[in-house]
Amino acid sequence: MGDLFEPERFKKFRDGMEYLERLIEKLESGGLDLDEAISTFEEACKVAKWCYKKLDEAEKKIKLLIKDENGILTLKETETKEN
Amino acid sequence: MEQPLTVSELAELIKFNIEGLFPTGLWVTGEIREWKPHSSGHIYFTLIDRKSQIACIIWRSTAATLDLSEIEEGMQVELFARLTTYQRQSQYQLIVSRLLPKGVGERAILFKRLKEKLEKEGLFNPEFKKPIPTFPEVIGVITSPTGAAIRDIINVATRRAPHITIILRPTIVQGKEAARDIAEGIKEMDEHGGIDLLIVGRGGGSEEDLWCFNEEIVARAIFSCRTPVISAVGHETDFSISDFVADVRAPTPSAAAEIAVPDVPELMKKQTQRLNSVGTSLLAEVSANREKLQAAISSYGFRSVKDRVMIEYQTLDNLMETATREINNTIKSRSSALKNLESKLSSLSPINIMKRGYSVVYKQKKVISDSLLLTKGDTISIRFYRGKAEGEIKEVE
Repeated sequence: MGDLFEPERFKKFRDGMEYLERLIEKLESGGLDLDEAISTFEEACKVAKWCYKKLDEAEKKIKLLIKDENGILTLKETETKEN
Repeated sequence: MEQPLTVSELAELIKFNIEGLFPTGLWVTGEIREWKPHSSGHIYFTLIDRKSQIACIIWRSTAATLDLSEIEEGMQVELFARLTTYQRQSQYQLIVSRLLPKGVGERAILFKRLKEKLEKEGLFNPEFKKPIPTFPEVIGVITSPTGAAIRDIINVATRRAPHITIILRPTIVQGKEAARDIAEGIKEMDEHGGIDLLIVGRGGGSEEDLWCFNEEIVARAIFSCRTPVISAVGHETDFSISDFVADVRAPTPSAAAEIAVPDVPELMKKQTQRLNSVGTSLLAEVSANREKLQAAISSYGFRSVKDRVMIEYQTLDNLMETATREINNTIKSRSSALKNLESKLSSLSPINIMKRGYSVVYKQKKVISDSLLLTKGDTISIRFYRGKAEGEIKEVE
């Protein structure tokens, strides 16, 4: 199975979410024999765990797009006061 | 002295002349005072400015056709009316047929004109609507840094998708400079790149406050933006030109954030539930298989095979026992026979014969048992019971 989960492959959260959706759809569609179903299931659990981890690690990132004194657009980190 | 006019005749004359001043009606602007909807359904009020005032009436039948929900005491309005007099008091008054908050009339016309123009050009066509990405990572927001809109968007978006980044391009969102600033902001965000979608908008306000989102420069900036745009201007009831051009219209900034990002924790919960139910059915399948296996093991077929194997074992054991016994017996009887044979063999051995005085003649290591194999002069070896000798043939008979 060249399809095995490698976290490095997922740079973005959405990749994980989309892969998870595909795996669950595969499982729900039936069609798999028991061995395949179990390995797909294990795979899906790993991806779900990765997604949860990503969410837990996430911190609020709010930036400002402003022009500096030379008129060049720059991104500035902000500290947002959240209640 | 001229024949005097009766008061009624005068009042009639005044009325005739006054009405003749603006035969098709006129627009008047001023402030509303003494707004009095009467139980009869007619509405009486006074329109004033700093110096003067004039009585106004909206007849019940007209009032029913006008949207007067926003009209209130002290409001600056523009109205279209017919000028006449109330003969009984010879008081002039306006019979109102249209009444709009100030600026509304002009803006309504501008709005309609621009909407028709852009629609004709195809800026609202569905084929130009870009899809909103399902899981955006970076969201650009073009609004006031101090308004309610950015606060609502940050709250909603980061609650629904804690992993996202929000980039704000601060803009003015009301007044003369707003439209240009917003249009520039859209362009800058689009050119900056790496932004999955844009939210352009502001929180609620008067129609005048929201007006910048009805300007052509903003509409064109949204249309040429390659990044998908969600417009979020004011409240649910506010529609702007931006809404028509944008890829998606959100009724409010909070709603825009909801459209922009899926509720990821909720979605993960749902995915986990789906996984759980798949897992449960897999477990059931595994345990069903285990039961099947158990049943197969304890089935008669499987047992009978096992029993047969055990019987075979027993037979084999018996056989082995018999065989061992037989072999032992055979060995015993054979060994006594072997002793007899040995003594017989030893009596046949040439050594024993040679003991009795016989010798063996070799020629070139071959035993010679026939004198014809020898010729005169051959060298021969003779082997005795004890010792050897060499000799030469003198004669063959």
